[in-house]
Amino acid sequence: MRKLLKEPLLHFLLLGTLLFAGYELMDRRGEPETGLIVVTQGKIENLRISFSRVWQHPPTPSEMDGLIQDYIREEVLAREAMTLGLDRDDTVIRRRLRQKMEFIANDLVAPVEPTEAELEDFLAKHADLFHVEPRYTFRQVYLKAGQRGNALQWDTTRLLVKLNQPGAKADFRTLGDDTMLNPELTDVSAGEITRQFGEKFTRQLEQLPTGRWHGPVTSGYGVHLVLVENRTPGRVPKLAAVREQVASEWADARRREGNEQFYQALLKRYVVTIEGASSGAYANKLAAQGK
Amino acid sequence: MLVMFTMPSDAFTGKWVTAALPHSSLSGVGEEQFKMEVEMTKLSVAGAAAVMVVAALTMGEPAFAQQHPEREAYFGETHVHTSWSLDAYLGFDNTLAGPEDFYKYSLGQPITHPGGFTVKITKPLDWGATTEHAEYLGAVQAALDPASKLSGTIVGKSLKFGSRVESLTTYKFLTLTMLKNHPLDDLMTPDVLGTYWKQLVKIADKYYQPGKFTTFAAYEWTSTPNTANLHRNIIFRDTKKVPDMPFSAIDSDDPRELWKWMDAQRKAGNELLAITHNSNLSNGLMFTTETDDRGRPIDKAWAETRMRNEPLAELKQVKGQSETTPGLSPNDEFANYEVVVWQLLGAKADPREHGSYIRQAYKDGLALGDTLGANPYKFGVVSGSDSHSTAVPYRQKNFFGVHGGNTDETPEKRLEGSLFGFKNIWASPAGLSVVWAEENTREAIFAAMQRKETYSTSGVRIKVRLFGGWELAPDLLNRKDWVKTAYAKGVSMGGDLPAPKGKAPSFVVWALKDPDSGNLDRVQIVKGWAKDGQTFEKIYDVTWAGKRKPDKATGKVPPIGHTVDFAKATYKNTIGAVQLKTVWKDPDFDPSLDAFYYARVLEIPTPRWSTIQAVKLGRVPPDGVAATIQERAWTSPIWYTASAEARKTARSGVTVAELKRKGATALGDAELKQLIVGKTILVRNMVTGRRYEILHGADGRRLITAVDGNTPDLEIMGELSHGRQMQYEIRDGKYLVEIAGAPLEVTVYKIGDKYVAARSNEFGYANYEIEAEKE
Repeated sequence: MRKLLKEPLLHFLLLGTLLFAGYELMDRRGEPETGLIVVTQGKIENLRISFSRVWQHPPTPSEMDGLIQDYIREEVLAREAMTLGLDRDDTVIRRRLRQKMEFIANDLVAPVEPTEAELEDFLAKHADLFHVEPRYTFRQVYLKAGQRGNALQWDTTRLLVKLNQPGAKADFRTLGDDTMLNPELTDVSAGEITRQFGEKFTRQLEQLPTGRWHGPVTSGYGVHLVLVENRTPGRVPKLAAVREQVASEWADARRREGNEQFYQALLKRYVVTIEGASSGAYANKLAAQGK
Repeated sequence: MLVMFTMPSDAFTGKWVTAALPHSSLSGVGEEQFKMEVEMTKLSVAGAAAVMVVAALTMGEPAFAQQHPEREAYFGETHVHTSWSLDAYLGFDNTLAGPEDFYKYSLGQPITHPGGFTVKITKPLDWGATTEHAEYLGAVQAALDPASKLSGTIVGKSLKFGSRVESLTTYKFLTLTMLKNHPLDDLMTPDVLGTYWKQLVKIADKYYQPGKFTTFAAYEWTSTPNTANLHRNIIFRDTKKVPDMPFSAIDSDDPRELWKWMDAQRKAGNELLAITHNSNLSNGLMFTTETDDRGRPIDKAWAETRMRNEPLAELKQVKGQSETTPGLSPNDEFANYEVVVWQLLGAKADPREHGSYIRQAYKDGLALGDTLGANPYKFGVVSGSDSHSTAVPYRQKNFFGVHGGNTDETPEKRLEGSLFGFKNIWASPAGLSVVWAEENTREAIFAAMQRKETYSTSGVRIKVRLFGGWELAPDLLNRKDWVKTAYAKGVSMGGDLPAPKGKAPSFVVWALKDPDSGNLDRVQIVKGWAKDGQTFEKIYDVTWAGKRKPDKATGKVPPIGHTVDFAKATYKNTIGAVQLKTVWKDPDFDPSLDAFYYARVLEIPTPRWSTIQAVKLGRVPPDGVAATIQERAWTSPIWYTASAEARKTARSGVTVAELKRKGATALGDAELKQLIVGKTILVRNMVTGRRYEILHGADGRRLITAVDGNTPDLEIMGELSHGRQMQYEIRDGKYLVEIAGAPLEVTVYKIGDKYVAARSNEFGYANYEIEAEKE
């Protein structure tokens, strides 16, 4: 018996029981008015309408009963969980709270109409976002590289001569090899050409002089002879043409900026210490700011 | 809920968050990663960037819907998550990029990946839709949206102080006055519910440019009973009558309830459809054959309701393909492609293959059509990403991860990391959903999805057409207007062959390579059929590159070889074809049997992303995944349904019901044991006529010792036993075996002096005669 009394495990258990009992007592004291749950008329209405929206009919009395029961169950369990502190240090809950804060922040940036100058400035600084692609009008004759083998080079030269002859009578549509590719494209964007002919082809098209058949132009399909009839270079559009898009991007940028400012303002309320020697660039930056 | 808004009273004193967590994307490590990613992006888009950068938003172009009477292939995305999906935000650190960023990305604009680096799509998409998880979608913003009732009260008032309110002041006001003292029920009035969803719809409308870029209102219904994936993506035809709230798995995780809701939506003039996804992770529950996913009997009405609502299935996405597996299709040498064996959230045990894959579902659908009177699995195919990073990688050469900002955002993590037991290395680039439509508009694309004129690719831009008919001439492809003729005289992918007008149907298949990917190896027609509850498949090589000769015995065209340089992780297009086309007539057609036909197009072998990234890190290609893959495209099938008259000509098998009517009795355990244990029995499959000699050892193991009197080759072994499970058990009057991870019961009936056996997965037919026994 004496030996048992000296057993550390027993001490531990006794101590634990005492602590737990004490904690229980203290906790009870702190509890608000025995835990009152009022299912308000507003809440009931809310449950009713959200049910109706999903199921496209109002809840029957028994369904309504179920909704209220479920709501009370959730309320009870959620409150108990909070009392036990289950919400603390829970990554999911912390993340959820963070997400809520970010949504609040989004709405805090008041909608403001940008001025003309602000939009012009934004367009100039982010020209790449609004850049209009080059456009082409061209014709092409396709040659199956694999099938023609060694004859490919000769065929290319022969066809080029034929096509470039002044007053050439041969219809380019009937020349070359059978393909499902478009022989003639009118005023199409570089992106659309890439979609149809691949990246390599579009890159070469950019370099080709207009008004004459050229080749070989290679693509993922094989070899092409190409006549670029017209090329409209890529350009930054005038504000008037893209005002709506610029305004949208401007507002977006402003929102992001506002969110960042909001966070920085909140951050100022805290003294942040990062322990340990492995301080990275971020820690150094904070240190430099006197944090 | 009220409690969620309660904040610690010392929230502003600074004590609470003293040990602020350094965010990974802001840390020094993050910057290192950023540099590496930029390097990779440079390599991957190479010089194309010069031309493609300007693609950006392609603004100022005329936006009108160009008509293509012979239809055009439009490449799109039907499955992507952004920071608005709870799991993306909470679990995968995707806290930055929302739905607008996805649309910008799709249009070709560079966006910031949750991992902190810039990503840009290799080729802009023609159409797409974000599919956020509907669950909890409506909760976060309940009190926060400025358009809500709330804005008329607190936020609204505070904003009226001036056009540019200092946000922190407003924030204080909000938290102190409203969140603490305001009765929450008032804030939760229905006006403010669903605003998140409404915003998603608004964003879809904002980016819709008819004729140029099509968007849809869409979401994901995320039902996951017992970690089995029953998820569906729901797509609305237009946004005119979209509901105030999406139907989520919280409302019900039962597909029948979802369909009921969808039917009601349709009735209210709001056309919509569902796409099943990741059936490969459904543990056999997506395409069940005897009961539904929760054990309730299925009938004709169930089959029709399902088909009315779910015309499409997602075949390939970042978590693997759902076409088939080597276990289900032992004769398909290309089946071992991006097979992911894993259960959602890392649940243990081998998932069931039967019921999880599309090809098997097509076959079972034919058998069910026979017994139920309606085929529940007559759907077409699309693909998707299921990326949770807003941005989506479609290319092996530009694979930047799919699970947000903290899981797979660096090459090292992609090659080594895992989440819930899912190894990052198993992930593959997203598949593409392709529709054949007259124009790039919601109406045309949605109609194509409804008529299943769709196909699926592994992420590449292969173009493939498939037509079937009775009057498609062998020389049809020589005509310039062959497409027009094929439409006039046949049906395209997703369609039904009309009543026979000849001895066998012909199929026109045409495939054009992706100009920025590998050449084509071959085109195959995959045919499946059912007879007396047994299902069959056969794969025909119908056209291929080069001068290869099909093997005389198997009819299979030998492998094309490869041009991969493993030291550099590159390949050359010196083998393979640019275009493959043919008119193929089914040489084994039986007009009395229902069948389906779909085309599969294979590229030549090219390096998998894991090989490319390992090489860049100076490592050897990792174990556990293939070093090279054959990118591919799968079309929706064309179905043949035999007429009632033709069915009569087929010799019909015996059903269990008929046997019982004739006085057959089921054997009990003792009789079963006496009949088979320790003996070799001769079993005749009455459908195929094949005879199997099966030895049942007293140790509970069995072995097929002969087929038609010969030692079996592997193929037949596979067909019968799927090559794996050797165990058997006799219990409760059943003979139990496991095939492809699915338990199977056999009941043996005695009628007169004959023994007839029925397998539980053959739709009520008793197809096996036990002819003799040898000691």
